[in-house]
This record gives sequence, structure tokens and C-alpha cells, in this order.
Amino acid sequence: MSQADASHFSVTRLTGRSFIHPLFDYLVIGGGISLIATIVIWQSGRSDIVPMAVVPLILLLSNSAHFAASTVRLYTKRGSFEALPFLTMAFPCVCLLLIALCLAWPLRLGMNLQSLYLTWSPYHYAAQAYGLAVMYAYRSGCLLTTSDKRLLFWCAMIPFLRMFFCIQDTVLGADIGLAWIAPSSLYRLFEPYQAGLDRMLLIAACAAPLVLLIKTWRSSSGAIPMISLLMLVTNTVWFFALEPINAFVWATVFHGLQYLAIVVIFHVRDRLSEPTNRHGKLYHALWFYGWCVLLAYALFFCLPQAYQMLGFGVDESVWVVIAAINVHHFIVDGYIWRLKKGDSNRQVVDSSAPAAAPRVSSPAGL
Amino acid sequence: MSRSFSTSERRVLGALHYLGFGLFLAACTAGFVRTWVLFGNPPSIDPLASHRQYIQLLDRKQDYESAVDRIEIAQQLAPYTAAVDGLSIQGYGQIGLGLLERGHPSTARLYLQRLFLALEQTTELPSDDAEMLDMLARILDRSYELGTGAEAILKDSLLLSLLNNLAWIRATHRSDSIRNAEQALRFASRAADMTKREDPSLLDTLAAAYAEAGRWQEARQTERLAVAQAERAGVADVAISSMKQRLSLYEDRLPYRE
Repeated sequence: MSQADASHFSVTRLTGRSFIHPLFDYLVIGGGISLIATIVIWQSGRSDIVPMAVVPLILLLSNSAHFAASTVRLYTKRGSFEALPFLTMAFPCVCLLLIALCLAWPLRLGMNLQSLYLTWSPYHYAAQAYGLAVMYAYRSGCLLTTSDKRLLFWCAMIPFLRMFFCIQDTVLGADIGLAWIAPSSLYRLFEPYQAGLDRMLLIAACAAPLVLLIKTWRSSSGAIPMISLLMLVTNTVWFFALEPINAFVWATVFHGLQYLAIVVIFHVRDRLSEPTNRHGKLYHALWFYGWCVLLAYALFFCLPQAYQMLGFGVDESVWVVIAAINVHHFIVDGYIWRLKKGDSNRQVVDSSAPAAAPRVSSPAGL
Repeated sequence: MSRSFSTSERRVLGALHYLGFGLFLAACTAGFVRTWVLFGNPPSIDPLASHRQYIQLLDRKQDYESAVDRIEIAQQLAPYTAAVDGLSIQGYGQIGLGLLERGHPSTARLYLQRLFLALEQTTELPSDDAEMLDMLARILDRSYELGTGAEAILKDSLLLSLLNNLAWIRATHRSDSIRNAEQALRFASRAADMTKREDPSLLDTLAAAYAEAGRWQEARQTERLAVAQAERAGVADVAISSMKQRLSLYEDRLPYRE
């Protein structure tokens, strides 16, 4: 075996180059901690393994804070106003107006906004898993070919396809995916095939990461790092092993942790690279996270009260605001993670990357 | 969204930015203050708290129609919204009944379960509370018609006790406005039928209902059956002697009054 071959199969390459520490990256960014939790939830057959009184706090600190994080990142990233003038300046007004319209017609517009967010969420998580998997592959020196990336993309999309085509759950309130988009007569024609498609997607979800590993291992790029595969596996487990309502709650919590970890890393590295910086990593990390929690509290818990004050219904205000924040987050994410040459995001990913590499997808993958 | 904008477009965007930021800040501050003033706390971090607090507020105002409206909407937007705790017995009943009547038996069941749990903890029904008695009677009737709701969630013992107590009050209450012979007969018959007419105390109630309805012969026959069953079952002498006193009243064509 040549030296090049040896590096091709080296342990570091296989585990992936971590941002903080392999254990942290695997547990938090890779979603390892969620696998442990999912196994506990699945085995106990209960969704209330965490005391109900603590759940809102967990949701605030992970889920809600992560939605706010994209906004905090948008407004704290240097050059955002120049690069994204509409998104930074006009879009918040558009969102406030959209919320008001949805509240005026809650069961017509509001329910559709909720359907949009519930349909988009699994795609967003899948796209994030794809983006992070590519990013780790790139950082670890695994130069994925176009066909590898295509395979990786469709591996990541399997949970989204399941939620889009196969979910009939009414517990979530609004229709999701095909049930929302397709006319009911057409949807009914498709219904008998849902169970079969669900089984096929499950088989594909189990086989795809293995196929991807073997394919990359045998190709010139070298094996894809395990942390990239872990991202795909965790996203798959959330949406296949858990009931839809638990999948949405827990996927958002763990996706939130993953997101917060990566966004804080990018923010801290941005700030540390500034010549005028006078603070350490911990200061920047706490400053950013503190703003995320504060904004999350304002967005999710104070803003609905203001709409109630204007005379809109209590429940509509809460659920429409939540849906709108989600959609705002998905759109903002599509822009703030772009990795153009010269962008600070690109510099963070490039720093400590072992080799020059082709264009890399954003963590949000949008 | 990242196309280049002219200077005047940027000015408009800048104005929108300050407008959006200002509106957002003002809205969040107002929302924060509003909650503090209304409920004495800052906005809760539980997204379902607003719904809970609002339903509790409507319960205190006894505006049950609005509460049912709210719960209907909440169920459409988020069907996993749990039933609200901390309501009055009247609140649970009226909301449960309202939801039953609007065709939401599964949500109604959540509220009726809480009503019956609360009733189980009280030793006696409030016999002078006409509104409460009417509400319970409507719940029992409506759920019986639908074959769901209360019938499905009540343990047999509690259902029997509720039917029996309500029938007794309707048959024997001293006030004309509370007594209702037709209702007393309906509930007492259902309770007696559920036990195949073998429970002496339920037969005793049925006899009182017949008496209230002026059906003296059936009242006497049923009371005699109740006494016989009570003696066979070894019921306490005091209870048997009360039944005999009532039997003698019915023989004189007189109803029993409490």
C-alpha cells in the first residue's frame, strides 16, 4: 500500500476533522446525543421521558434559540446589510404583515402557513444534514465527486420524502406535504400506495449510507467521514423511529442543538479573526447565545401577546407567529450560509481544511 | 434578494428597516407589559400557556360560549393542545357539554373526565344548585344519545351514582323548581336497568320517581321490591325502615320529600 493509499484510509480521515473536539462534534453536531435519546424514547414507548415542566425550558434553550440564531447571525455577520439589503431591511416588515394577514384569516391563510412550515421543516433538516455532511467531508479532505454529492443529497432527502408522501397524521393540525398540495381526489388515489412507499423508503434509508460509504471508499475521493454519515443516520432516525409529533418536537430540539453549535463556531471564528478583537472564545460564544435566547423569548412569547392585544385570537396568534418564525428562519438560512469566495463562512470552513477543494455546499444546504 | 439596489431603493429599504425594527421592539414590549398586567407574570415560555390562561379567564367570567369557540380553534390549529386544568366544576361541565353539542366528542371527553374526577371527590351533589343539576342532566342525556362522552368515560360505579343522585334530587327535592318527574324517571330507570333491578337503593330511587310522577301502583310495587332486595342483601335496618316509611307514604298516594 502506497503512502497516499495509507492516508486515504487513515483513521483521522475516516472520523472526520472536528471543529471543537471529536466527542463534541459527534455528540452535538453529528447528532449522536439524539440517537441515545431516540433509543430511550423508542424503547420506553413514551414521549414524556423528560418531565413536562422542563420541556418548555428545553424548547426555549435549543429549539426557539436556534430559530433566533439565524436572525442574530444575519444581523451580526459583517457585510450582511450590503450583501443582503432586502433580507436584512425589508423582509422583517414583510413577515410582520404576513402574520397579520394570516391572523385575519386564520383558518384559510393561517392553516396554509402552518402547512407550509410543517412541509418545509423536514426538507430544511434534510438539507442541513446534507450541507453539514458535505462540509465535514470537505474539511476532512474527502473530495466528493458530483455523483457522490448527488447520492449524498438523495440519501439526506429520504426522511423528507417520507414526511412529504407518507404522513397522514392529523395530530399535527395542518396537512403536510402531498396531503396539503395535492387535490384531495388525487391524494386519495395515491393513499393505497403510501404504506408500500413508506417501506421502500425505510429500506432505502437503511441501505443508502452503506452504499455511499462503499462508493466513496472505492472512489478516488476516499471514504466519506463517519461524522458525515452520522448526520444522515440521525436525521433518518428522527423521522422514521419516532411518531410524527415526537419526530417534529425532538428533531427540532436536536437539529436546534446542532445548528446552535455550528452557528456559534462560525460566529466565534469570525470575531476572533477580526484585527480589533479583544475578547476570547467564551465571551463571543456566550454573547451570541445570550442574544439568541433573548430574541427567541421576544419572538415566540412576547410577539404573540402583541397580536392578541390588537384583537387577534389567542391561539391563532401563538401558532401563526410560530409558523411565520419558522418560515423566516428557513428563508434567512438559505442566504446566510452561502459560501462565496471571500465570504467569512468560506474562510471558517477553509481554515484547517487539509486540501484545496471544489465548491462546497452550505450547512443549511439551501 | 441579493441583487444590487439603487440609492433611492436603499433609502426605502433603510426606512423599512427602521419601521420593522421599531414595530417589532414596540410589539414585544407591549406584549410583555400586557401579560404582566393581565396575569401578574411575564409571558410564559410554554407556548400553550396563553391558551390555558385565557380559558381560565373565561371560566372566571363564566363565558363558556367563548371558551368553547377558543378550544375549537385551538384544536384545529394544534390538536395536541391538552385540556385546560384549574377550571371550576361548572366550567368543565359547560365546556364539555358545549363541545359535545358542537360535535367534538373526543375533546369533550377530556373536559368531562375532569368534571367527573372533581365530582368523585365531592360527597354529594349540590342539590340546591339548579344550574349545576341542569348541566349534569344535559350532559348525561346528550352523551347517552351520542353513545359517547360521559357514557364512555365514566366508570360504571360513578355513572350509577350520578344517575341515582340526580334522579333522587329530581324526585324528592322540597323545591318545585328543582323537582322534575320526567327526568327523575329517566335517570332512575337507566340506573336500575344497569344493575338488572337488583340494587335496592336504585330501586328505592325509582320508586320515588314513580311517586313524583303520580304512578302510585308502580311506586308501591317498586318500593316493595326494594325492601325485599334490601332484606335479602342484609342492608342496615335504618335504611330498610326508611324504605318502609316511604312505602306507607306511597300507599297513601303521597310523594316523599327531603
